[in-house]
Amino acid sequence: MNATISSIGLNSYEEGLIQGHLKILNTKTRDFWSYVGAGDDADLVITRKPVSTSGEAKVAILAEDGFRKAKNNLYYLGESLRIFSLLELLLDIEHDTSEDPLFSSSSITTCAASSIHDFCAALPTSERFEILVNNQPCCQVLFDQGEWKAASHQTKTDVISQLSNGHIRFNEQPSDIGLAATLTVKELLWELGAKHSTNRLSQTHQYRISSWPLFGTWYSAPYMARLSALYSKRFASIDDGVRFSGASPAQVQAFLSACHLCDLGLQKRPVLEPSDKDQLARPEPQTLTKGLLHGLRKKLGMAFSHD
Amino acid sequence: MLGENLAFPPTLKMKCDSVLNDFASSENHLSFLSLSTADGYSLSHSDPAHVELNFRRISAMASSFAGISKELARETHHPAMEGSIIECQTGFLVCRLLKTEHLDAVLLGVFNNESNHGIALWTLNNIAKSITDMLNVYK
Amino acid sequence: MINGTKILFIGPMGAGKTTAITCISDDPPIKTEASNSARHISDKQTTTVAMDFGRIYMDQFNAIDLYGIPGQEHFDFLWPILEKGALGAIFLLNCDTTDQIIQNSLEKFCNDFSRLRDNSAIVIALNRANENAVSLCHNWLRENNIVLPVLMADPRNRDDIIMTLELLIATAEVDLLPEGEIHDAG
Ligand SMILES: Nc1nc2c(ncn2[C@@H]2O[C@H](COP(=O)(O)OP(=O)(O)OP(=O)(O)O)[C@@H](O)[C@H]2O)c(=O)[nH]1
Ligand SMILES: [Mg+2]
Repeated sequence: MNATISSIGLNSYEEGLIQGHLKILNTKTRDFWSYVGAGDDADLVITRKPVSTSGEAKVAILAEDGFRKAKNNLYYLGESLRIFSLLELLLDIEHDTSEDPLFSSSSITTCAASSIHDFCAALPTSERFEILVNNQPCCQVLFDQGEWKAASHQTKTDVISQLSNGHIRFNEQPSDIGLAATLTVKELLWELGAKHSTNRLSQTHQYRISSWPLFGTWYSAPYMARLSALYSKRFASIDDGVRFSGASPAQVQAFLSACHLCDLGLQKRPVLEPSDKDQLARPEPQTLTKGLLHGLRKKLGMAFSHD
Repeated sequence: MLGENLAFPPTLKMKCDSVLNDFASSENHLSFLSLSTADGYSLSHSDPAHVELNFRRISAMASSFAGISKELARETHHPAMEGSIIECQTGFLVCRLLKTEHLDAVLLGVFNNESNHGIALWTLNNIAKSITDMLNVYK
Repeated sequence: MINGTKILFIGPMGAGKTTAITCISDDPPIKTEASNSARHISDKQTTTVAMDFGRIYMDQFNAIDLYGIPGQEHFDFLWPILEKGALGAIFLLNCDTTDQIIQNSLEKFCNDFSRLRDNSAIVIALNRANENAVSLCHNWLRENNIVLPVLMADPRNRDDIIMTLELLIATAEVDLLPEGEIHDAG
């Protein structure tokens, strides 16, 4: 998709800066963004002062000290037009306009987690950045041995609880805190999603994943083994997941949100026939194997037991 | 592969090849011989006339067979298994375990229907003794 | 008569198949160990030459039969024989080696046990592994469009092996759900 940016009240240096940034950012963004010059006829208008635009255009004001989304169509971009802020802005707009959103509503936690996810995906691996929660430094993120990892003075539990509660911001020029990065960002996102997400997923759709989460490495609860088995083998609805795993609907939705955050290939499709909905409720008895597996679980004291 | 291994140098292999070939050609009822490590690597074999054989597979199978036989014997309270026999309409296959100072080996002799149990076992025992002596002497 | 469901332990030499089966079997397992002459591949006293066999009894009629393959490639003639009728496999892999060897083993065993792979009936259990090895396997699976669980497990540790069995059973149980939806999936 092509998307356009115009500006109001910017000097020629700033216009050049936008064009320069776009050359780099267009390899990172979903859409192809082009700068069309001064005016208000574009998908995104960058200005120095608040303006009113006609129609659907998003407005980004060069004020405050970094990126912030103020309202649905209004953003603050920071005074100095940094490339990172512009990237955050473009990703956010693309996120808003994605055609078939996976989630019918996103929780604050998942917004934070998904912006960390998108930020890592878009950044060159040579960069490092800092995540601030309510303007306090929380952790630094850098690319190490093929993966984005986080370093922090705080414990993993503290980092996760902060990220799940506050308003997050990125600082792209952090000073080196001289700590080894030990926690992978995936592990962080997984736990944020699986424990704290309150995303709502459509009940009339089925979901499937194309990779398993990392058991033993990432946070896991007993019902997750069965959810992973189910959704990795076939499309299934939220209700199916609830019945098959014994988890609550909220846990199933959080699990799928975590899968999405960790790029486990979450897919979605409408339920094909109405009768599909009840299928898992009435499994045909294949007593032999079923009884055996049940017996094994009982004997070995496995965590999940249906009855 | 062990053929190129320290445990079984090329000169020893040549010696074994020649001993096995001598036995195989001097005994009419003996089709061929194969010597492998107890864990299934081919060490040496005689060159059977008129047939293509895959000695990598034969060695692996002989050691599996010996392994199962040994376990079956142990399970039935006969712990010191020495060998086992497969009887066919067209002949016999006889496996023997060889314990030497440096290595455990499996010797397989394949006999045609000119042979019988007694002759086959007696012949293979003799061959086993020669090979064991040779392997024990070799440093 | 005891009705046994077969679970297979696969993986290269020294991966810990015999160790794992010994660790969880109710009876002392049947082993076919012979002196190991390939100490340069895996430095241990013995290696399996035919199979391992152990059993977990559920009740007086039902058991889980645990079969271990001999991991060395010259025994691959036995693999399809042992694989017959298996519900699934636990694929053990020793990661104390190069990335290349790990990838080669993944490829070899996923191909040689393709029926189980295609039915997602394999759990990959890495030992002597760190998180890098886990990511390596995870990435390899993705690149090859193979959907299997990966975890770290020490074959000497009963709880670890039971955790792997639990994952395997969870995937098997998905197949017990009604047929209808399975056709739609994918
Ligand atoms: N230190 C350590 N040793 C391990 C670990 N896992 C396995 N081992 C050792 O590795 C060896 C594995 O050997 P086996 O169980 O015979 O391996 P196998 O897979 O049966 O191998 P083959 O039968 O030869 O194909 C044993 O000596 C184990 O004690 C581990 O996580 N840490
Ligand atoms: Mg073994």
